[in-house]
Amino acid sequence: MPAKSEQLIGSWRLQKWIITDETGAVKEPMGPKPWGLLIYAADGYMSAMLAMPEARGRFAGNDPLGGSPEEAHRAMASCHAYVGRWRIDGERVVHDVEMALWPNMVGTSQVRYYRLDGHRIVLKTPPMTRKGASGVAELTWTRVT
Amino acid sequence: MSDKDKLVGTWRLADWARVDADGTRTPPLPGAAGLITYTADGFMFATLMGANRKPFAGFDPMGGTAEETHHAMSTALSYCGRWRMEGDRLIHKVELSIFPNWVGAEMTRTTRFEGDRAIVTTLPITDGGKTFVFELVLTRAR
Repeated sequence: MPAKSEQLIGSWRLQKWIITDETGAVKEPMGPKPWGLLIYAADGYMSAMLAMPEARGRFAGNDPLGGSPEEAHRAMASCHAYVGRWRIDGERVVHDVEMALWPNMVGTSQVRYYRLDGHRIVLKTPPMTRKGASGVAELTWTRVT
Repeated sequence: MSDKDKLVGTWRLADWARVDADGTRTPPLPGAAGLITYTADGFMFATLMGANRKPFAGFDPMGGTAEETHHAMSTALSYCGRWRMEGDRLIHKVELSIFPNWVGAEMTRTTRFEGDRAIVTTLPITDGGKTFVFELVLTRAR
């Protein structure tokens, strides 16, 4: 039975992120301990950030917009973030993206099939490529609040 | 309504400026847009982006070329974590940020409300012999 949207409202932490390719091979694009926060706000906005903490390093300077090409590349290759509005559509939750670190995502509607299981939610994606791994992604999130 | 209750919700960036001691305002990213959410359960998420960002040629957000990622990083900022109020001080405890140096940092801001706007200001920063603050003017997102 489809969930009510109230059941998604809150803050969620990423527990597991796997991508399964067409041969059935499973990869973890951000490693076995990915870091992520997903917010479904009561006002209809959503935010998501996912990262591979151990691959991030630090910039030599203190200007977030002033990193060197090498620093910027390392930061972008280990972190993914986007924000926008969210809505439930049957068994799917749709993220209408307004802003994203990856410019290509802006203006897209990201469809996720969701499965709620108590304090856990699993989001399944259409085929995509993330950090070199291609296939259907499954992201398991645990409710924080 | 307390400032804490007033801040809860999603805000849109109306103006983002470095403000010098003489009042000169300089936008860090001209034409920037932004969304900032403060949830009642204590999480915050801020995203600020410049105008006219260029798409990547490929379809992997974490697979951009050096040139693509440098452009993307020079025109966007995103971070999230916990927030709390201490008097008029707003504290962001950053848990994750595209800018790695902020991870784990506690960033102190002051807030004031003018009509339906929230104005969030950094504490004074001294750099290169000048003292300035960064100011975010926010309007409630609809």
